[in-house]
Amino acid sequence: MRILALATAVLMLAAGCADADRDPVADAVVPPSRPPATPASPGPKLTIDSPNGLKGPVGALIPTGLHDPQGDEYVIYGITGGGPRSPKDFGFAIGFREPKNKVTADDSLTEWVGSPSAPGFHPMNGQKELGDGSVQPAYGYYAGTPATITVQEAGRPIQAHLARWSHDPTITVFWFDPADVHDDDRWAQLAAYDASGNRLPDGRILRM
Amino acid sequence: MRLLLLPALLLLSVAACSADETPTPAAPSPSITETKDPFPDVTKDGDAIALLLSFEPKDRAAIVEPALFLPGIDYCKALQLDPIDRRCAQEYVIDGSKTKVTFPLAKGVKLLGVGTGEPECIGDMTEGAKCSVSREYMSDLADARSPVHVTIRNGQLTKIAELYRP
Repeated sequence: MRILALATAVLMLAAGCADADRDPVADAVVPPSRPPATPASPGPKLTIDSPNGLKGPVGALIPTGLHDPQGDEYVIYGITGGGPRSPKDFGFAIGFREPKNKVTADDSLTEWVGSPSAPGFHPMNGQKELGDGSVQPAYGYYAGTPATITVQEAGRPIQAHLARWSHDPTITVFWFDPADVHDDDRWAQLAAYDASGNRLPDGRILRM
Repeated sequence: MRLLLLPALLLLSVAACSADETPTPAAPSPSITETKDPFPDVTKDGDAIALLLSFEPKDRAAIVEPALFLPGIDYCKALQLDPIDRRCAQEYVIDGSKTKVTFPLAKGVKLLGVGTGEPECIGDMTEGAKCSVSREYMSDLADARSPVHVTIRNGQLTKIAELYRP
């Protein structure tokens, strides 16, 4: 069942990245579970298993390639509602696929100052060590289409994994593999760059 | 001393400018960077945020540590921290200066606290609580190293007001 669900998620991602051939960044940003180049078929309608009034998922689930100790893969997906802003405003949540076409929302983020689509970074969620010993990755979104996003950890650059949001490809979701992170208390200089290495607007950098 | 040095350097540079023809080797320009201490100055009369470390009404004295008590985003601006620093997203940050200062308590010092949290007692993050509290209450605040707003007049504390922490 889990394999079937994962395959569905991968197919949905393929639908979201259908224009990857036109986007030179896409190859670099597709997460490790690269979607097959087969036509996507619409998957089952998913619902969020959340008591917080979150609606969605909006767009395809984004597989991160990161798993908890039980082997479940973290997925990131678009949401609406549940925040202090207009229900039309979007945000993102991280969670897991569950049976019966549900997806958990273990944690979510929304912009609460200005437009959620304003260019640049928006408040992101930091890496969290959970009670079961697993580590939820730091993740966030960037309004724009950077080629790379990096953060400096005590002077050592760490590169984020990127994926365009299928619902709106001008939005880029990013996350950091906990295996790359040694001490996120020493993070500085979160930055986005285009393919030529030019720094893109910062927007609102804030780590929750 | 630094204040004396700066005009001297300015005079020297003016003198160098007025010297005609004689080329002088370029001297490295002095770089004087003023780094403002973000913590409140309690050496003068005025108001300050501090941590209450000790409250001894019998000895008519209190020990405080000048501190910052700010919303995270303002704290990061005050200390010029990188915005990715986790403290920037905190609702508020309390940061002591690691400097302890002992003050005598003025006669009739006002002791204010939030009590049991009645809205009229809470006050705000800059001026502190509004309701009178007992000396024992203030001692408990000191035991917890609580942030307070203090008023200093003639080198004495004339008001100690608890700062409400949401």
